[in-house]
Amino acid sequence: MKINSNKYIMKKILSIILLTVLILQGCDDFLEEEPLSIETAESYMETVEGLESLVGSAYIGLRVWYGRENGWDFTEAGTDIYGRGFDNRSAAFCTYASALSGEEQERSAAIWYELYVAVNTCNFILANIDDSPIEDKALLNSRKGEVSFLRAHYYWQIVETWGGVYLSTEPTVEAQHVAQRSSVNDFYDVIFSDLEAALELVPEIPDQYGRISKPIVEAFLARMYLFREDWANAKLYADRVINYPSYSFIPEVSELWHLENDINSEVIWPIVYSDRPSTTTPALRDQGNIDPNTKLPVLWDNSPGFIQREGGNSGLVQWQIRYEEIPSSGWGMVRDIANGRGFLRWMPTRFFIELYDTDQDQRWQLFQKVWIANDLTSIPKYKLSATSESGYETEFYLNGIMVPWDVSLDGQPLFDVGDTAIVFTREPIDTTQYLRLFYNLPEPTDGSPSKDFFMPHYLHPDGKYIIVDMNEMFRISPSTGNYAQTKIYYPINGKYRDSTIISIDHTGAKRDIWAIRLAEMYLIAAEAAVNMGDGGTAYDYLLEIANNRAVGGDGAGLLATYGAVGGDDVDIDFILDERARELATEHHRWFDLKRTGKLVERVRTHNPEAAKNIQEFHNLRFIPQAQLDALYNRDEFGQNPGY
Amino acid sequence: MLLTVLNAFSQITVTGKITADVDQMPLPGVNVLVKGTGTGTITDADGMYEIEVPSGEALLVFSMVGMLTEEMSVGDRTVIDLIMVTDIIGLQEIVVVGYGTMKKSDIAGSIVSVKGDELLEVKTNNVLESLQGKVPGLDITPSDGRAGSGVDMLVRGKRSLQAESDPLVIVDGIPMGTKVDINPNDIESIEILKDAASTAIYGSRGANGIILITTKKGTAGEAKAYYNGYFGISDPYQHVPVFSRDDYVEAKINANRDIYNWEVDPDPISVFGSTEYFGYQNDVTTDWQDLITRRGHQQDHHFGFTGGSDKVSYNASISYFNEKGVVIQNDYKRYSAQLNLEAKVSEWLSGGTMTQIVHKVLDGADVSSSNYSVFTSAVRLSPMVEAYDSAGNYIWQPAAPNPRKSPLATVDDVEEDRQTRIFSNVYATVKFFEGLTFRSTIGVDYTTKRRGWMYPQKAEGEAITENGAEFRLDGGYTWNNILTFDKTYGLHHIIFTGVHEMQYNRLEPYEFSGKEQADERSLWYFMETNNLDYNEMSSSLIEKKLVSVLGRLNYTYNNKYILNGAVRFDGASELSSGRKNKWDYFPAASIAWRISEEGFMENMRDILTDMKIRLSYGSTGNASIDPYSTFGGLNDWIMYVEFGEQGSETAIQSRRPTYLAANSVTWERTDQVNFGIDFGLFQNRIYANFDLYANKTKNILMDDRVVPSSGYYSIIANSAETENRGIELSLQTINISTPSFKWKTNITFAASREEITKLTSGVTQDIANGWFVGEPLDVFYDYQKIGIRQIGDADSLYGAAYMPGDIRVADLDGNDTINDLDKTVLGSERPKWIGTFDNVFTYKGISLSVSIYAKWGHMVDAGAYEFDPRMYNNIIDLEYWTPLNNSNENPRLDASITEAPFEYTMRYREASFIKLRQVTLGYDLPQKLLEKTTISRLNIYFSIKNAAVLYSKMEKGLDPERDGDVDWPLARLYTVGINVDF
Repeated sequence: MKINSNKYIMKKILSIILLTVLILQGCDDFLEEEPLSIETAESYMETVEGLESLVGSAYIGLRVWYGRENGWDFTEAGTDIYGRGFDNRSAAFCTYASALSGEEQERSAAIWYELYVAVNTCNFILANIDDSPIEDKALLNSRKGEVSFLRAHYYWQIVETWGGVYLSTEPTVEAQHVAQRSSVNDFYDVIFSDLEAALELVPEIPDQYGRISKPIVEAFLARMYLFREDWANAKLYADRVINYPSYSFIPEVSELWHLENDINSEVIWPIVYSDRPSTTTPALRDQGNIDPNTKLPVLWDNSPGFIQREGGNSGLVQWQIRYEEIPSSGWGMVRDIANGRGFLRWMPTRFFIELYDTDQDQRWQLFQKVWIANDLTSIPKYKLSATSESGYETEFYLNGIMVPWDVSLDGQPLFDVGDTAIVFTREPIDTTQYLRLFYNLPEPTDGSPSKDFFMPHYLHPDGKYIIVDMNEMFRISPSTGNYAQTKIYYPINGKYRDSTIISIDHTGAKRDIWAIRLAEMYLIAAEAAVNMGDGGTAYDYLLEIANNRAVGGDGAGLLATYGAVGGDDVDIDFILDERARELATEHHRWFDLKRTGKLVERVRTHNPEAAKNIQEFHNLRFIPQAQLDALYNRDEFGQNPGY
Repeated sequence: MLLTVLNAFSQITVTGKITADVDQMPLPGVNVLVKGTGTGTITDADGMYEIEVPSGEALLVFSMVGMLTEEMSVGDRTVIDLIMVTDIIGLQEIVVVGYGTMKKSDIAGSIVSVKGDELLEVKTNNVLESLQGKVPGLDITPSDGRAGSGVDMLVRGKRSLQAESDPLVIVDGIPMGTKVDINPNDIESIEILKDAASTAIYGSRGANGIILITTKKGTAGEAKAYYNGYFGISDPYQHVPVFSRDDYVEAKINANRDIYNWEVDPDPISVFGSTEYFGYQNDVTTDWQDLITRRGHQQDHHFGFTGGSDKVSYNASISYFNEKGVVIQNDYKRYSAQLNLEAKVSEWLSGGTMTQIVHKVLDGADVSSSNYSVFTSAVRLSPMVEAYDSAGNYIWQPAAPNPRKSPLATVDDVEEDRQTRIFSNVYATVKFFEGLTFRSTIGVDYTTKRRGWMYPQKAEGEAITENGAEFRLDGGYTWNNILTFDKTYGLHHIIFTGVHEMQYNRLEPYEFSGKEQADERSLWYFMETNNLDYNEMSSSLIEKKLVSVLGRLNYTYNNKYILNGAVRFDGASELSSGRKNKWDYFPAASIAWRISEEGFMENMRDILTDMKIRLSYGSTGNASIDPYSTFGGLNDWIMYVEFGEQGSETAIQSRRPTYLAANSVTWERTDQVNFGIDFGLFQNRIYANFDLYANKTKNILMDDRVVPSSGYYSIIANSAETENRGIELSLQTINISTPSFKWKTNITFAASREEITKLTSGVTQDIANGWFVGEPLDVFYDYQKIGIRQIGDADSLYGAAYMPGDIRVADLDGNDTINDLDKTVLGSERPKWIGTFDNVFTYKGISLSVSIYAKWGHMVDAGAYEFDPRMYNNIIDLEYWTPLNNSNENPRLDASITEAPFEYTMRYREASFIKLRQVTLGYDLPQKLLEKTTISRLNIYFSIKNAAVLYSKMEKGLDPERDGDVDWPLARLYTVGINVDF
């Protein structure tokens, strides 16, 4: 009995040992990972769906720039036409202030990184597309051409923003800790060879609206030749695009920018946005990385922040002001979808506003300068009050003397919903003829600035609406040299309005961004002609634009108002002014000023807040600290000079 | 042989009675053993025993858990009575070590054991929180006060940059993760393994320390029923000291003054928004913190049976815990059941199960605008606006135009979290022959979790309604096979342990969310009525596997010399492909010498009763990176690119190369040396443990930053190195011990210093991650605030935009500009030391325990001090700078700037504190009173948790333990409890 049991035990021990050995042999297989939710880029090149997804991702880099706050910071802020708005987060871009906040660093690092990710994606596709087993060669060719174009475009953004930095046409395959610089010429060699390749490959009419087409490549080539000062080629390619029968001007500016007219004959290259909720709602998950365990977003644990790759065109909020906080309590205005939500990012310069002729130029009429009351409860009421403390609504002063009013008005609103609530005017007002809202500050009689911390709040004597003139909008504080105002009062350009969003929370909308528009081709041709000494031809091109922008179509009259009656009056400054009137807020300005060597000169002249700081070295942006910190050869690579 | 023969002729029968020193009551269950033989017996219910001994030469060994072991030579006596002395220090206790148990006196490593009773001293829903202050070197930051929240734990500081730092929690031999869902009443003991020699047996993840939890098992004997319960009331004991209504009004006006024309009063309508202006005129005062907090309560009921025969033993309990949080809508319920069952099938085969089933329900939305918690939102909201409209409904945006949502809206936001967890081990033990056993355990840990949310129109104001649900299946198994050989050969005692273990875990998260459901009452149960355009979904599968083989040898000679050695081989699936990367081995060795057992110490034993010197070395690993992180590949979130004409766009799901493949990621490895001395003086009335350790961690798993211009941002890699040194001391003294009055003191102290010794090659600082060679792991790196610019100060350093009243920071590099190079390491989150000072006074049945806890020398990023120069939000009641009050501490308020220069520097605060953590008054009803009832023991107590802050370096009395965080109010808990044994 006992012996039997021992034998039994021995058998058991042996079988356990055997089992253990078997298990250990299976261990290596057991430990291999077989993820079902991870894909490699190589496997994606093998199917049409995968290829389309990869090529689609090469376009993503456009969506962090066009119609996005970061893109406007890099292209419109700190120029002669736009300065800092009240809620701007990137003072360094607006005023060239030397102290960079962490947020500014992160924002620029984010763009730097996104552009290089886009380049690497293009590099990967171009390096592998020829080996793809996909049989539809036409599709492969077209996509290869698109990606070539996109790489050229991204390198153009990089080289013009930061100068001769890192350039590679090969995909990254292993961890890099060093980087070398390349010359600006090397960048443009890649840009032109990519564009030439693209020109061969892409169709004239793409299979989907928004993909790269032959006219887009030609239009961008025109722009690139302008940057390289190859005037003849610039004009040649601009003319080619102009001569496509499908492109023509729309004579009504309001029609051109009408939301329902998003696709029109002036558009050459649209960045397509839609109102699909899944793509216009910037869901949290789109702003960063996903925790592989939870599938929930981890905000930028391994890449820089402040970037939004998804969502719609955010222009509707970025350029808007906070009319409902004027003055802080609101003056018959509450925020609604029809009027929009204000992010107050960039404020026009006085120079820019005065560039337009108020009567003859349709483009000035695109600006919103008047707000109509939409809310009864925030319309102030006449109120009978004995104490000066609480009677603010109804104590009006004219030249320091209280204006009496009919006591029967007690409790009545000052005006009604539907009446004018706020007006910005370019004409200076005679403040002695306007009511002053506040009782406790005597109007300075010596003409010195008001001591009011905020707006003095002049009211129109009849309508009782708030009126702000240019002198108040751009009043300079004698102590700081900055605008004394808090940068919340200014006319807004009407290029990005959208009242079709379904919730006021939407910061992205369906309006496409036009990266290239027909008018730019005329401006390129005009600029090339001027530089070739042919002012007359330049004038003709400008006249063509003006004929479509002047009220009543009198382009010659409009140009004359601006100081050009013929070719002799057209010079590079005239063209830059005209570019500002036509292309402001369309991601051109900073590059235009830099390209023409006018950045420092024009900013010093026209943008008082930035004028104090701007230097020649600001023609290149600072290299983000995140790049420098990661470099083992940081000193060799180096920051751009001056920073 | 000869001896055996002789024995047969001269048997002597010895009898006697054993009583306990404390109450002079008979002691049943005492082991009586003839030393050096297998002969033994146990005492009966009256404490009586009878044993045959070979001769008068024989030595009798009397032992029992909880009592000091005594040896008596028989001589010519036939009756030996004994009063056994309570073993205060527990040297004879059986301590759970990895994959086995050992006598405490035989341990050579650094292991701290905490018994179940001690855990119950602190009333908490989380058993780990009750370990705070009981174990030197274990740093526990308590839950943030939310009902049902967890704790943060660190054993001997942090050493890993990116991999997890939580200690591994093992319950009855099976890993349970960091969420420990066990009623503290069900716990027999918790062992904390600190040094590498002890943790190396767990190889992987042992580097962060191991917490072993053993649940209560049934004991053979009479069946017994028990009930433990308590009821507690909690109050938010701290009002965050933001500006009062009147001070807020004043501050807001001051923020609108021009510092050069201070006397000019700004116009009130400019100062206040429309809503605040109404409040200004009508003297509206609202205390938001009062409105959203309430008196909370907790109750815990735990009822069970225990007992068994010599064949089957059992312990079964059910419990119910309910907490009403101190913030409205925050409620937590936990239902749990536990069954420990063991059956002896035959002499050689036994088996059983240890099973826990827990169901938890957590209610309470924590949704507010601007990513603030509901409570922070209440702290920050203007105190001069109305909370409710005339109809009694809350106002959605009370401080409009400030878009902050009312925290009161949380009553309509629905968020509900339900989890059910089954944690069950089934095991079989085969005893081949005396000393050799094999045990195979399969442990299953399976959790389903569902979180649902619905934010209704009423609470969302202008925005549209949202709903969604998250569903997760998280489960896996652990299979371990342990072969143990335990044998005593004369003075030699050998234990060999061999283990094979496999672990598998899979997680399947699913989430769907949407907007605009047809009927809000359907919550997230009818999502097909949502606006389909908004529906989003995600799902994934994450698997993780670990295989281990280990062997360990423990050798003790004559209870004096202890020698241990172990080696473990581990393979982890998360690491790069290939045997070279996935597998590693982790050796450990330790020696100990019980000097007090030496003959030459005999004469000193009254003074130096016990003394042991320990030295250990061990190596442990860490592979806890995210699964698949070495793979590389495309982005795992979806981006869209659109093409097509307006109204008919197609969106293309776009994926691009985002992660670099990492082909040689292997184990992170920590080597640790530990030196320890344990000694007891005066019959162990003073007992001390002292440990000194140093460890070095290499191949640290971290995200290695690559150059962003390569199109990638980081790659997972083994690169950095850290060092960590520390001392730990625990001292237990019995100051007074008379039959009726006792005073015990328990002191612990732990100090450590951690340091990064190497980052990726060639780099001494990684600013982005905040890692600096020569500094601890969690540091604050920023500008150094040196004061406030005063009127007349010529500070060209900061440029023209800086005005009097702005923060001045040090120009550390002396280059006359303030830039990134002036940032410096200001301090570390890691305390210089942590100490506890606990006292227990017992008078007859009454006991009073007072527990003091101190944490010293650390810095925190105190969210409470978030500044807002515009006074758009309420801020801590600071003495701010004005032209009339030239504070050098805090800057000016200024409505025209969104952010004060360098305002973040105000948040760095030294946070040393001393806290009266817990006071408990208990009463054991005398046995005489209970004799006539069926109750065998009845204990009632009253306790106060978070009793008082005795000292805090932080201004304004903010609770220091929560690091000046205002996410959630910390509660003071008053508890009345009862423990009954039937």
